[in-house]
Amino acid sequence: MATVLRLTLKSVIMAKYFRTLTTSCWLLAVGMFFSCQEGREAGDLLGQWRMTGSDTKYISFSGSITWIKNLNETEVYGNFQHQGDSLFIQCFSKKGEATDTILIENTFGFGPFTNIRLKIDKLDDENLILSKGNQRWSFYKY
Amino acid sequence: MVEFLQTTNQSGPLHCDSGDYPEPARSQISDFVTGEDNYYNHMFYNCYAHYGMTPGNPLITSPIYNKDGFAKFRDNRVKAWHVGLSGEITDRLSYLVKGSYREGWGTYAIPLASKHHSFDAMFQANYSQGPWLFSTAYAFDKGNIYGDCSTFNFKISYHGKIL
Repeated sequence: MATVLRLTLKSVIMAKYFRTLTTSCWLLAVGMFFSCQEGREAGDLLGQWRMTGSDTKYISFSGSITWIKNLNETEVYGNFQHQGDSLFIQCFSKKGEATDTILIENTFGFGPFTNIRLKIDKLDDENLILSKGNQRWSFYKY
Repeated sequence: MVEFLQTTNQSGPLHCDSGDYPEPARSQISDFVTGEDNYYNHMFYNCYAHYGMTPGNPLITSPIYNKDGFAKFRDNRVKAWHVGLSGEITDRLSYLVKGSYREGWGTYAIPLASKHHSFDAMFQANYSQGPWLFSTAYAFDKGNIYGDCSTFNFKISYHGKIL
């Protein structure tokens, strides 16, 4: 009788232990999921986008930083803000080199270097279309 | 068995730490963004490979396949699907089929000009007769990673006890 009682007690303790463990794992997973900060302000812009018709021109967004590069030239970082269909980019130059400004203003046709204001015409999982006046830039996720 | 592998995100496309830059750029950077993990590559040690082969994962193309001798991983942002199937037709006859399809975008720093893709498959049949096993297999690669290759093998093995 005593053995049976001891075994039952042990089973109850084990069941409680596993229930606590399972609940803890679930809570941990939910907590980790909601604490995920990936992308943050970048939202739907997060990722790397390649300019349509080019295999060297890219623009990337993560957090509130953007990375604009042409594989044949150079690369430039900038801060960006994205609200609704408005995109504001403020580039900064690591060493103040003229090639940085040339990349942004000539190669990409954005500008001015520290005050780029663009309209987001289209943004979905695969496509990003930016515009400014009559100018239009088309990118796709790559 | 079905497996899916995706390594395209790598904590986001860029890494920007104001501490890496001198003034005045340092104070112009408004955010600290970590990312661009660049799987299997390292800024100082080139890459993590074993005699040019990718450790533990056949779906990330090994540097040994770089035809120009480049000693780093060129294509670590991939999406891949793998399917495996095995079964027994009779008590003695069994089969194994495996197939993988992968697409690769390169690395964030140097994206590939065009996506890499490959379909690789293997078909194997086994026939056992007592301690003897007769096995034959055919396998192929199709795509622009390893090229279009195919091969086959035939194996006779004997299973016995030494002790």
